[in-house]
Order: sequence, then structure tokens, then C-alpha cells
Amino acid sequence: MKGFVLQENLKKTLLLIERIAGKNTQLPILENVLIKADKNNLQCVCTDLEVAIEVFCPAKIETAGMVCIPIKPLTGFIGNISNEKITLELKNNFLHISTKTHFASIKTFPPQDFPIIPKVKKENSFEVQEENFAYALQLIVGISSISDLKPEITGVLISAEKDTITCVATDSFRLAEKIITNPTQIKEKKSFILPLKTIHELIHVLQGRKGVMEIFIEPNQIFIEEIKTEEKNPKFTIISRIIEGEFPQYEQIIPQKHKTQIQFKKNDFVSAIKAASLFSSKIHEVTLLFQPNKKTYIISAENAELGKQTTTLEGQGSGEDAEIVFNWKFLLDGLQRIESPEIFFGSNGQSGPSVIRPVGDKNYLYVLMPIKNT
Amino acid sequence: MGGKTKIVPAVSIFFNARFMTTEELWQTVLAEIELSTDTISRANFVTWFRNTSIYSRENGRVTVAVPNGFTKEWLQNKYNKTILKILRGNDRSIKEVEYILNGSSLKPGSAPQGNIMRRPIPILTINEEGSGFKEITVDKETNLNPRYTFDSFVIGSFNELAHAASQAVIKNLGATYNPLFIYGGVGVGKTHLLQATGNGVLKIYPGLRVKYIPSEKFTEEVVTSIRNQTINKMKDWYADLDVLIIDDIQFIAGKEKTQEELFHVFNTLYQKNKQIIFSSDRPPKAIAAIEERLRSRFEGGMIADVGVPDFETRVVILRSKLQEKNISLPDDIVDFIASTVQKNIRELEGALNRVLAYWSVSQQQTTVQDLQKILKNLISPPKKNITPKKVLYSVAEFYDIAVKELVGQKRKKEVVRPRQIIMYLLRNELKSSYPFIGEVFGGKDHTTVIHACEKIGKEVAENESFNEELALIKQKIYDSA
Repeated sequence: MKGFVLQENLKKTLLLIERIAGKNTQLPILENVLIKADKNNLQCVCTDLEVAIEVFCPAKIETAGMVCIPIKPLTGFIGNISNEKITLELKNNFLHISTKTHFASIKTFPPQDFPIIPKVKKENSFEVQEENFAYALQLIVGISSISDLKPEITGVLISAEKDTITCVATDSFRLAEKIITNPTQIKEKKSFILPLKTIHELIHVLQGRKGVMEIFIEPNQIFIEEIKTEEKNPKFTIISRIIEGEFPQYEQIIPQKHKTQIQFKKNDFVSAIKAASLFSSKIHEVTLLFQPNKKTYIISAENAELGKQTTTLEGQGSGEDAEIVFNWKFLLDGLQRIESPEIFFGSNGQSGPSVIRPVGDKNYLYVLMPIKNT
Repeated sequence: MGGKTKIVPAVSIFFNARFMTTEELWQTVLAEIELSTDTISRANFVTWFRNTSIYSRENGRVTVAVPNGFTKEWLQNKYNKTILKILRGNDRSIKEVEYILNGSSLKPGSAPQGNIMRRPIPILTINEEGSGFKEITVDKETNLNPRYTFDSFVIGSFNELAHAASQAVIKNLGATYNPLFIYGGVGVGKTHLLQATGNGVLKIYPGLRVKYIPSEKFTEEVVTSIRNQTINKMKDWYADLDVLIIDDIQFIAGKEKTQEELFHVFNTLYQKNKQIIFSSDRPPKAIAAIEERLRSRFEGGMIADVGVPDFETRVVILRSKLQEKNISLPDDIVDFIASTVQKNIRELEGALNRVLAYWSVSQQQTTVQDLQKILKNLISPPKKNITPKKVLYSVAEFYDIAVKELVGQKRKKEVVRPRQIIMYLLRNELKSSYPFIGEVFGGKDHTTVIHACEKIGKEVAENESFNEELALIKQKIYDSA
């Protein structure tokens, strides 16, 4: 195998895939990258047996071939050299990497030991705009559950129908839903649950990308292929398992009516909670005392050892008085992701779910249960 | 090939692999692959073979379930020949192997759990300490009512055997008492015990597939499946269970197709050592019109009966129900209720509710004398309305003999025995005099009656199954009253 590649391109490629390698210490071969030199590409693949990322690095190939080498040293070395033309050549089970000034030779592993990447049937798919999708994922990925007890919620539900894609994450204490519109129409409703790990990798890969990708769905796995790539980015494909099982019927949880409804300036609300958080106890509780009829909105917290703190907020509201206790971390998680200046807060008292939404934007929703007050 | 010693687990030599379960067969394959170190390293073995299992084995084709696409590709391309060779070494009838994806890769190192989608998924649950969403789904799959637990089950000498057997079953599913057959009269707590067992199993092993179903529902399912031609799907669904609980199994008497399906389901589960529990109002021997092969299977496990609660236990039951409702009644009232309602715990609860209603209305001024009036309408004294004629007719019907023969002169064994039973019943239940009984039978001598009563009385004391028969007859008489 012999080929020529630009350092810049190879570096970009390796940075996209190196995170996934080496996460499985059981099988050392997974710390490697499989590089297939073919036509005018270096196809570089890394996997951890749940997700595999393949990136197509443009290159000039003299002799086709395949090589399997540890990725971390490779990435480190390539990252260190300047932007020039690199020559890659396989000689005697060593990969020779040379530029005008640098040289490295890395011992290779047998390529047939590298896991075989499954192929997914190219049916049942829909297209998605990368920038939008990455934004949505980033917004809700922190809300998923990390515990293994209920595997169905250790991922994000992606549901695509007509011209919207809905992403939902929950850890059974709170739930976030983000809807994005899609330019292409999706004929039949498709949905699947993406595991957290895949989502993190996807966010990482999609950073800065503005192209289009197509998602092919099979019962146990999905295949993502970038179909519209910009010049400066190497094309990628991802194959990942999806979580089997049914995502909880979350639509029924979202309250349609609220006993108390108030609108606040987001920044004021956030800083009030942050202030209270300093004085909250071990279970992170802050108390929201909202009396719309008296126009009093107070956020407070109290800690026996430290003291207490209150903030009075300005807001417009209607409905019943409410005194509710929340976990401030959960509150902030939902608030900080909102970008609009005003937020809507709807509550159903101490025992019902509360809703936080950006004013003027129907596409984001955060539902949160108060802390049980015994 | 020559020279290489293959380490073969001893199991395969002495065992005809055709009778191995698929789990045992796959264990054999895994053991052989693991042991032959020249084929695979430890790390590789764990990575590629973890969470794999045999999904099906039929017509010479074995389908292996693997957790993810990578494993599928790997086993298909690198290990197919080895796997096939080992399989064929154990069972010559296997000709090919194929691989399918089965998503049980979620818990590392866990045994394959089967298709997760079939388990009920609770909607966002409440976390007891803090915040959470309410559990909205009812367990549609298991049909278990969370109200029935061992905590709310009162143990007495009348049910301690059945209770102990149920506890033992939970601790040792499918092993100690399989099947468990619990029988007893109406309203003594059989369903409570069965459901408590189901809930108890789920508490310890939340991942297991438990199903509680009354036998009429089972019959319904069989009928519907046959009609919609989904009978195989139904069979497969039941075959996947870990615990099957069928209530009131006596109702499958006379239903041939249901019995046939039950027979197949029973065998499938039993061979996989999966727990089966039945309840009935009579022992297997007394269930008429069921196939012998089913009856023998019911009797093949543990049979436990539930009797009627004694006075002390009835008091305890009443007290525990009062505690549940957080009300208290004076002891003498509780004792009176317990002494009036003697057989049926359901009736006991009904009487208690009635008394409680009066109690709250009368502002807690009810006395024991008032109770007599309150409960009189509720509890029909068992001896009321029974006439000799009713006894005659019921027994005649039970033994399928004409009443004319019974009161006639014939001394055939088939006639004499029911006659003697009637005499015994008239004496013991209606407290009739011997001469009176003699007259009922057309002028028989009172000494004949004495002899009959003694004879039957002796048999009641000595013969367990006759006692049950007699209980059934008595029930028939009282039911027709």
C-alpha cells in the first residue's frame, strides 16, 4: 500500500474518530484504526463494537492496500507535524510515515483481526440537516438517564414525522423535548432511541458542519451517511446500535393545563436560582413561592448551618398561589438551554409536574417534578 | 487434522444432544470454544461470545442470537465453521448455522433475557425520596394486583402448608415444588396466595416474566387464537414465561382443546424448569372430565390444601383488616363476627364492612346484641332451608342414580352406598331421628340407619378422598338451597 495525503486532511480525519477507539480494554485491537487505501480515499475506521465511525480522507493512492495501526500514537504524531504532504507506505508490517522533515514507522497489526463493520440495508431512511440536528442533540443530551436500571431512557428518542424531528430525553425526574423542522418530508413515522455514547460522538463529529446526512434505520442499528458534504470536511459514516425497547409514553406526562402560570425574564430567574443554590441543603432544594394575585414571586433557600437567602422576582402571572420545592440543578439544566429572553413557567402545585418553556418558541419544552415534600 | 487433542466436555459423550435444551447445547459449544485455546484468546472469547445464545433449533438449522451487528459479522465470518463443527459434534442432525440480531446487549455480562420489548414498561416512575413522575401503567402483562402480598396474608394452621409451599417456590423457582397445586373451598385465600407468590417472585427477580391468569381467560385466549390462527404465537408467548399461574383450573373440565393447549404449554415450561402454579376448588382427583395425562401432571408436583380458618385465625384476619383501614372495634364485637362467619373469609370481610357501616352511623354505640340483628340477614345459617328431599335429590344427582332406586329395596352396591350417605347426612346435618330417616327411605328399620351412619362416619374419619367427596356433596346441597 502506498499513498499521499495532506497533513491537514489526515489530522481532521483522525480527530473525528480517535475518541471512539480504545474505550474497550478487553480487545486491544479496538485501540487501532483500520485504514483502507482505495481509489482516491483513505477510509479510516474506528469502533468500540457499539458505534463505528468511518471517515473518508481525500488522498492520492498509488497502490491500494489495508493497514491497522494504533490510533493514539498516529494522531499524536500527525498533530505535531506541519501542514505538508505526507507519504504513507506499508513495508514489512510497518507503516512508514514521511514528510520532508519528519519520519515515523509504526508497527502494524493484522487487518483481519479488526472487527468487521456491519452493513445496513439502505432502506427506511430520512434526511436531516446536520447543523439543526446537532443543535437539538446538544440541547437535550444532558437530560438522559445514566443509570442502567431502565435502559430505554439511557438514550435520546428521535422521532421523525412529516416535516419535524422530535428529540426527547428524560431520566424519569425531568424531561426535555426539542422539535426541529426538516426541509424534506418524511413519509412514514420513524423513531428510534439513540444511546448516549453515540449521541456524544455524533455531536462531536457534526461540530461546524452544515451539510445534510441521511439516517437509515434497522431494528437493531442505524447507519448515518453524510450525503452533502462541504469541501473542507471529509465525509463520514456512522453505524451504531440503537436501544431496543419502548421509550416511555412521555406525551401523557406533559401537563396541558397549569394551575399557576408566570412569565419571567430568563436571566433574572437564573440568577435568583443560582443565588439560592448557595444556601440549599444537601438535596439541592430551593423553594419557589409564587403568589400571582399579590404579584409576589420569591425564590429562597435555607440551610441550617449556613443561613438563608431570598430573591424577589418581577414577573407577570395568573392562577393559584403555589409554594413548590425544586432541585435547583434540575431547574438550571432546563433553564440554561433556553435562549429566548423570557421564559414561561407553569406549575401544578407541589405534587404535579411543572413546565418551563421559552416564550415565543413552541419547539422546546422542559418538564420537571418538584421534590417530594414529606 | 491429526495430532491435536480436542478437549471435549464430558457432558457430550454421555448425553444425547438431541435432548439437550438449547441453553445446554450452547453452553457446550461455549465451553469447547473457550477450552480450545489455539482458536481464541480469553479476551476475544469474552468479547465475541458474551450475550450470545441459541434462539432456535429446528429442522437441522440453529439460529444464534447475537447482541450487535459487529458480533454478527465476526462470528459469521470467523467462527462459523468452528461453531458448526462443534454443534454437529454434539448433534449430527444440525446442518447449518445462522445468526440474528437480538438486542440483549444492554447489560454487560448478563444472561440473555429474551425480547425486551415484550416486558411492560412503566411510565416515568416516582422516586420515593425525591421527585419523579407517577407510575401510570397497570401491569397488563402479568395481571398481578399489587394489593395481594405476603404481608397482607394471614397465616393459620388451615393454610400454613400452602403458604410454606408458596414461599419455598419463590426461593427455588421451578426446582422444589413444580407444579404447585393449591386447592380449597370458596373464599379461603387461594387467589391471594397465588398473586402474592407472583408478586413475591417479581420483587426478588424483577426481570422475570410472570403471568397470572384465571383459567377461563386462558380458555378464552385459546379459542381466540384458534379462530385467528395465531395459536402458534400464543404457544410461543407462553413458552417464554418464567412463572405461569393459573387460577381456578377446575373450569377446564370438559374443554378438550384448552386442555390440549395447556398440556403443551405445561410440558414446554416444565422441561425448561419454569415454575407453574395452579389453584382449584378441589384436588386433581376430584376434577371430572380432564385428561388423565393432565391430571397426572397436576399430581406430579406438590399438592397443598387450604382449609377453613379456625376461630383464632378469623379474629386475626379481622384485626388485620381493621388495621389496614385504621379503625378499631371493641374486642367482643370482633369476636362475635368471627364466631358467626365461620367458613368464608370473603363473607367475613363482608360482615366486617357491614358492621363498620353500622358502627360509624350509630356513632360507635353498637353492641353485640345489635350485631345479631345486623348479621342475621347477611349470613344464612347453613342449616336453614335444607329438607330431606333436597338432600335426596342432590345425592341422587351427584351419583347419577334415580331417586326411586334410592328409596327402593334394591341392595346393589351402587345404590346402597349413596343411600347410606344420605342417611348419614340426614342424621348429621339435619339432626333427624333414626326412625324418621328410616321412613324417608320407605320404612327401613332404624337400626339399618344406625349402621349406615356408623359406617359412613368411620369412613369419613379414615378415608381422605371420601371426605372430600362428601364435602363436594354437602356443597352441592347447600348451593341448591
